[in-house]
Amino acid sequence: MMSDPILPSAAPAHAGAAPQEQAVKVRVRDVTVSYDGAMAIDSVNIDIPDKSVMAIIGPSGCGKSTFLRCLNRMNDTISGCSVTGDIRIDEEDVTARNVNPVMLRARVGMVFQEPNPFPKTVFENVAYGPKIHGLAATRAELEDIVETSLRRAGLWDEVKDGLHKPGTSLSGGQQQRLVIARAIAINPEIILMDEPCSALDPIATARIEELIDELRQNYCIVIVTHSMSQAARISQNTAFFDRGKLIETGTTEQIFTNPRDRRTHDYITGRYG
Amino acid sequence: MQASDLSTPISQNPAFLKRMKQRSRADQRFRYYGLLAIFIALALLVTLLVSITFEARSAFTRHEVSLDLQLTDTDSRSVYRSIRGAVQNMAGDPADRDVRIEMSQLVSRLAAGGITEALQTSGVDLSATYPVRVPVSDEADRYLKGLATPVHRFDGRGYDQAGARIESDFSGAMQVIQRWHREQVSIIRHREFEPALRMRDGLARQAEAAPGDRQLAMRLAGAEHRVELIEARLSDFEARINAERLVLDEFTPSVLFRSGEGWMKAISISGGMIEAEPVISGLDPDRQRGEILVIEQPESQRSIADAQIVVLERFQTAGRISSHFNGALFSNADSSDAEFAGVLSGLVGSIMIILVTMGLAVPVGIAAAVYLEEFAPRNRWTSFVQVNINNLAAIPSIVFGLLGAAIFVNGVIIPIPFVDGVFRLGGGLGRGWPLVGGIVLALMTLPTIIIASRAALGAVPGSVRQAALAMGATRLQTVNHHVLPMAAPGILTGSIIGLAQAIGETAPLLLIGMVAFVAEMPQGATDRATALPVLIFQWSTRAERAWEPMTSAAIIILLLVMLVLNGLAVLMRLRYEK
Ligand SMILES: Nc1ncnc2c1ncn2[C@@H]1O[C@H](COP(=O)(O)OP(=O)(O)O)[C@@H](O)[C@H]1O
Ligand SMILES: [Mg+2]
Repeated sequence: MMSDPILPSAAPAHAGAAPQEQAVKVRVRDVTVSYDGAMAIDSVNIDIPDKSVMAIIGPSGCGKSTFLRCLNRMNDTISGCSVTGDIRIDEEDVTARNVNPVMLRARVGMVFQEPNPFPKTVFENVAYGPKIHGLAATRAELEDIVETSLRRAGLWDEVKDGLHKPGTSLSGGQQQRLVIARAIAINPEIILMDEPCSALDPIATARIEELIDELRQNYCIVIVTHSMSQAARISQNTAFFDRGKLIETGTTEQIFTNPRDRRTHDYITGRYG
Repeated sequence: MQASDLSTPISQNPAFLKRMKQRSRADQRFRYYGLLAIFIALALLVTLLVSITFEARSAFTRHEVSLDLQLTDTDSRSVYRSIRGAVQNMAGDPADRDVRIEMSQLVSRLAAGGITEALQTSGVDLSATYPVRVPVSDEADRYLKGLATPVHRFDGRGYDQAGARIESDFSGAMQVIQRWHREQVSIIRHREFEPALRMRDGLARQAEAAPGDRQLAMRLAGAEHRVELIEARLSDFEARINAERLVLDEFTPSVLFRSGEGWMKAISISGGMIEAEPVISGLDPDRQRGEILVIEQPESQRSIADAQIVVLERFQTAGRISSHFNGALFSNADSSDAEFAGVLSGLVGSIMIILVTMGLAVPVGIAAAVYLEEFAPRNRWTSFVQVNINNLAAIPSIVFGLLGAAIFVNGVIIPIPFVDGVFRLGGGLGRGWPLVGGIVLALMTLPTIIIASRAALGAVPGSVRQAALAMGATRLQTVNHHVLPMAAPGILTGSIIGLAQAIGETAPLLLIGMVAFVAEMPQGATDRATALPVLIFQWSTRAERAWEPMTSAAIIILLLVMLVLNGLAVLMRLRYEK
């Protein structure tokens, strides 16, 4: 049962080299979130290592997005949402009242399920973050940042002749890479991705996955995904949520080949429900 | 197997096929209804525009008369005296004082004003004659435009003259007059005789049912008398239809006869001859040329006298009457004389009002909408505010006028108990100021702008806000950089609709004191002024017929202002959407 035949290649080569020894980037303690009094996640404790990809998996409505939004305090923008508990990034408490969420969100970038470029040009989309945070002193610097970000997002060659076309005119996969370029243009420390490939076709998905694998060298990435194979391919660590509770967390290899909890096993083998 | 059985493929299911047909027919019908609705709306619009333009067309031109003035001095009194003199001269310098007054009424006293100004700046040689062009009075203008009365002209060639009798072929004139009598007969029959008959018969039936009622009997007697009177008039008119000779007076059409420089007015007419009295002497002694004018409207029913018509006709034949574009309509302030009245003061007043309204309502409205939509927490207090903004939008505009008059102009006076004093809240602004009008209309427009702006902001997808916030933008940056630009077209449209509504408002402006007659141009937002819609209202209530086309012309100008405003909105929208 532990070496389930459904997942013969569940532990890909690079995931196997899970840098368990990486320092902890985010430490989450006793985090509970409720919407208008209805609990969405309940006492979550988790350590997210730096310079690696952590996949969050679990059935719909189990609180994955809610958990992700705790990390950049986007839950603050939802009325009726209350968050308690303790979240530390580099040992610094970011849930404290005196921490400016704007400051936090500059450190923690986010990519959403539906590609959501601004209805502006490709250039302006990527330049937006550096502009509002004052990262570029000159136009040349700004152009440099835009080009670097687009290159790192693997989009430069496709858009370099159309930087002043609307970002919304790109294809879905290009838009999602544009949004990633936009996020990394301000050089954040953590990137949150909420099902970034669920609206994309397999080829675009493959490109994003490649990109995530590259970004892992520099960033701490937390990604929500519904695809078991994607989690297995790109993540080093995996956390399984169910009904607002964190059921199990560990290296991706361990979760996929040797889950401790019965529910985890059922979920990853598709017997859930 | 039944037709409704699920084992039948849907394309062979008769119930489905039948329903399908019904559905496509309903679709078709709906399209036709839509087309019909659009057609009706367009037709109404076109009818409105065409009828107003048709009404207004005569206001856009006016007739002017060229006079050679013999000036004695350059002050407006002397100038007016000279103008009057020139007109009376054309009338043959009548001795009768009433006729002289009639003549002087052909040109307004106000005409002297402009000439005086010109004279005083240029200086003038009092010994020479001074040629001027002045607008004729509104009634004369209506006559020259053919609006005052139908005029029929016949050739009077070959007449024979014997004292006050003119023998010529008057059969054409006779026909016109007989036709007019026939028309009168039918008008009297339908409008007076038949109603009087019905009244009498009704009373007679009532009296029969209540034989003892003395009051009823008296009323019946009165009604019977009336019927007799009308019957007498009717038979009088009927008799005149076929009469050989007709006596003419101010209750019948007038017949004027011109020959050379001379004019005669008929006192009786028959097919081959009129008896006439001279109006202006100088009949052509060669008896070759002549013209017969039948003025169909009786003199007692029109506001231009036969003698005035004669003078106008003389000016006309002397080539001294010309028709011009009515520039005064656009360059003058209001005036009590239609030929000098213009919409400029109203236009300026309206522009000042709308600037105040725009300056207040647009920024406040957008700020309120942004706060409510983007920043305010959703709680009982904000929903209370929202409900009341909607209520505010439903308040009739006249109430805002009352409020404005009370708060800004009069002030609210609250007696303080026990001490002998009052507390005065507000007040201090003047009646009829564009500033006050602007503030009141801003209050009225505010809810419209807030509601439209909130709808536009609410239609901006949440993903844009999330994207910006997640990038580390502040709320203000999110709103300014992304939400507002996306909502701008909707906000603009809402604001323009609100302002267009405000520009056409009359009632609140009347209530804050914009009722008075203001003949001066307003100097600023704190000066008595009038506004276009108020002007339209005032002109529509003035008695002289000449104000009717003027009112329509002012309406067209107001519509044009709105058109310009809406055009601007469309332009700005297009630029934003790029
Ligand atoms: N904005 C919200 N308001 C109220 N309830 C919410 C909101 N977002 C999520 N929830 C509730 O919280 C629970 C977890 O939702 P979510 O985090 O979106 O789940 P997942 O991303 O795992 O599908 C669900 O029961 C959902 O109904
Ligand atoms: Mg989700």
